[in-house]
Amino acid sequence: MRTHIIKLTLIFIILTSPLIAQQQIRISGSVKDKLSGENLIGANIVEQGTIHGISSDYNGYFSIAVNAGSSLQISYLGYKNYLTAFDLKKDTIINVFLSPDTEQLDEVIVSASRTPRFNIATINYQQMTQIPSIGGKPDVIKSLQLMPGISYQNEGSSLMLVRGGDPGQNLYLFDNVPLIYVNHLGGFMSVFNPDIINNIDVYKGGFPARYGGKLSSVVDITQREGNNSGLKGSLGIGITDASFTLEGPLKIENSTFIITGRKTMIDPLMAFASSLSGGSNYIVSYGFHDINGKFTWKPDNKNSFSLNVYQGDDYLNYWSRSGTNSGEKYRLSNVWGNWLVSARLNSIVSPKLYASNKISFTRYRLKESMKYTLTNAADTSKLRIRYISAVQDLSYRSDWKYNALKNWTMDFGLHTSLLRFSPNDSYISTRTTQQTSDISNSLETALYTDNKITFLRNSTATLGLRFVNYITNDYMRFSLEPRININLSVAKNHVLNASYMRVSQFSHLAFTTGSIMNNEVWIPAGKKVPAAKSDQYTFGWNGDYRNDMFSSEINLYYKNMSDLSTFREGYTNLMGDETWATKIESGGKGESVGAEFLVRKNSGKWTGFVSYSRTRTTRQYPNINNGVKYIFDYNRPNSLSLNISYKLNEKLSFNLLWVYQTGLPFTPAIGRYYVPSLENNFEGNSYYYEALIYGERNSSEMRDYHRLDIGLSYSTLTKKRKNKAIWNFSVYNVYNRHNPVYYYYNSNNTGEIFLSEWGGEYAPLSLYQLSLFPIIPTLSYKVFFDFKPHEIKSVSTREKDRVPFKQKFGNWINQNN
Amino acid sequence: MTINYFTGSASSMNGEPMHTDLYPVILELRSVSQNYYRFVKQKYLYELGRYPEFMAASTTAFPLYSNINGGYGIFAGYSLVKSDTIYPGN
Repeated sequence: MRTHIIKLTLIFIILTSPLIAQQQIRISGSVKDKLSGENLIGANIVEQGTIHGISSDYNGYFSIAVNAGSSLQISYLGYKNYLTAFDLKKDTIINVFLSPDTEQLDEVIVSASRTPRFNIATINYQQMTQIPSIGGKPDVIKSLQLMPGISYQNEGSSLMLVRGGDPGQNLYLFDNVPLIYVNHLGGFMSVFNPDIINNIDVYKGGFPARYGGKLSSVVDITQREGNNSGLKGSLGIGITDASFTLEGPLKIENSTFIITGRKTMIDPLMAFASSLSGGSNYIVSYGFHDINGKFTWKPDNKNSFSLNVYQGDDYLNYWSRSGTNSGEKYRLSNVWGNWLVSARLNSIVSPKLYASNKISFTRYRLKESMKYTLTNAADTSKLRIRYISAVQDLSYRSDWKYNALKNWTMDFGLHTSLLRFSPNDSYISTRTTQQTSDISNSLETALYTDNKITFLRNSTATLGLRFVNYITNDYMRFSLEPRININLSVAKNHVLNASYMRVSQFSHLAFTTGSIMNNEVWIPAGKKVPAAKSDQYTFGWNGDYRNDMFSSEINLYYKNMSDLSTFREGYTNLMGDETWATKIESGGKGESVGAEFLVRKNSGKWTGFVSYSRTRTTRQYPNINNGVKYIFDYNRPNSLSLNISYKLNEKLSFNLLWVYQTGLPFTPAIGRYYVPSLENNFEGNSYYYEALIYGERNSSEMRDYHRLDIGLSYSTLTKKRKNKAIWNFSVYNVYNRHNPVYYYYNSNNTGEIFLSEWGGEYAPLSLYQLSLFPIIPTLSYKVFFDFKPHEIKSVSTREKDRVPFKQKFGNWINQNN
Repeated sequence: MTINYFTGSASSMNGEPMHTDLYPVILELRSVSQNYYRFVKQKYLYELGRYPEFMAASTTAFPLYSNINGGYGIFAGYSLVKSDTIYPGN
């Protein structure tokens, strides 16, 4: 296979060789924001007077071969254009700083050629703030869920389903380091703190060869690096959480840091409220926190080093005490979350060679513990139960980019991860022999190469190959994954694309739908649970109108998946079960076909987008639905989102979002019959009860889902210090639509469960729906602060109350311990 | 043979240790046909899917086991032995 690709590459070189006859030089470097020093991802770099250009990559890095003596024009939406002022004669490394253009939003920017990208949903911080959200604060995953091809399970959920995939098939890369668990609040919030995000790209298909390991998507999140012009920060408060950001330069030259944190506001409140109610015998508290930190150091303009730390947990605690004298105490605690530590070195080795090396450690664990003590005169007893499910990932990644020729760029690299799964580790104090915990180690190594060849002016062909090896205790597998991506430039600003990719996934997520706890258990592939595989074919068109003011795209795809795994029917949990493998259903197949449309208005007084997708997704498992193919549980045939953001003046802007979707499928009852009970009633007789006869699985649709959200944001200056502050007022579900979460049959319209076998008055069975999220107005406030040099005096007065605040904050953070 | 079970009520007066009352039991042993066994097993799944619960794990609708061609229901049989009433306190 590889020799074929080399041959093919050679053919391309020969075909396009006349183009490289002129004297060529290579310009590389990076594009950054002049004020903050942030990398600008996707900036356009064009050889002046031609349509030959490229865009900066996820590190803000670019490398372009141009004719000697020519100039480069560098542009980025919202920034002033930059033209290299000097004649470039030899290979050069330049760092370009673009200044934000505060006035240009009304104007039209001229960019000679934008490199269109396919099967990628992109969103940056600015765009996120233009979407009204439930907490009045931008939500990363919920913003992405509005893009065509990306959907979710139930309303409010932050789990992503990409092109008919499962929630466990997304690779979340946080600055190129995989993160395992990405939800808070049982999936109602994502762990990504919007304050630290620079840019997000979601690859829905056509993965570059450097990505793999998950079937459905790669969510590539680039964090900000911290402002280098001075110490800055922000504080924000909304209904769900309070957050802070602090960033600035450090003492070491050319180094910056950024720290952000979030913490729920509801948990102390909940603990307080529950201790008041219910006879003060129990206390319940739920909460989460996230802390992100990043340190970046650029010793020279060729090297950049960064260190990254993330920690986030959700916790649900329950304390109970029965009576004052009985001496009974009971504590139940659940904690789940991630740890991530990574170090990265990016270097421009030569104008033609760029390298990025990373080492990272991630750990996800779900821990449930129960402590029971009884101490009184008559009896003392203790019981401790602990259950842990964990995944650990120690990874090394080395990525290289080599610009071999003007029209040939090669990416290659090595990724290796040592994964340690312990899906089921339990400890019960009363057991005489403890269950041996079931730990399996696996090593996943991938070698890849991507070759991007430019032909016919602006058309490109990217031929990639990823070779993966997976080894675990008793199972080994090789997988060869070809990737092909062809962009054909048909007219100015109109590009066609076709792609094919194969991906394998070596760990499965056993996922409990709708549960706030015991959420995620990761299972490594093995003999009984083979690795999943998918093939995806896409075809797309991308067009720009009126100098980039409008961009539009259409993507068609067909995807098939094999060897999927899920819980066996009726099981929702593997907790403490030694025979967990028998509760997993494997060998599943999935198919998804869809069409996605997106039109964006990028500049002008009002901006926004319309996205629409039409999909059909099915699943087939040997022992589910009697082995018959059925409609996927979260199949939404039609899905439409409309977002409009209108800037009324410098201070006030208005945002609107309307979402329309056909309802989720459900299994209808087509009849009922009477069934004898298994147990006898009080008279000692068997009795008959009413049971439902179900139709074909997921063969009906719930009623349509639609909702309108509006948001108003007002930016102002604080009175004392003249800091920028933003008030955000938003209304979720403006016309209070009762959208269904699920349907159920009941004989009681109060919402209480009523089983006819419990006896009582006979009432006919009817179909009911549960809906959440009525109209919800929210208000949030965020203030940005800037420690300017002339404010040094005022810092010393702050110093005084710094310590108590720190202590207070510490106590508050640790209140669950 | 030992049977561990817990049924009955517990009460405590004026903070004294718990006093547990155990209810009498009747044991019933059934020897069942395969169809009956399948039906019982599947009935638990049916009940799990019958009423979804918000914020708790839920499964999708699941049919009861049926072995009647062209209809619904089961044809099954079992035989049983029943003990006398056992009073655990004695």
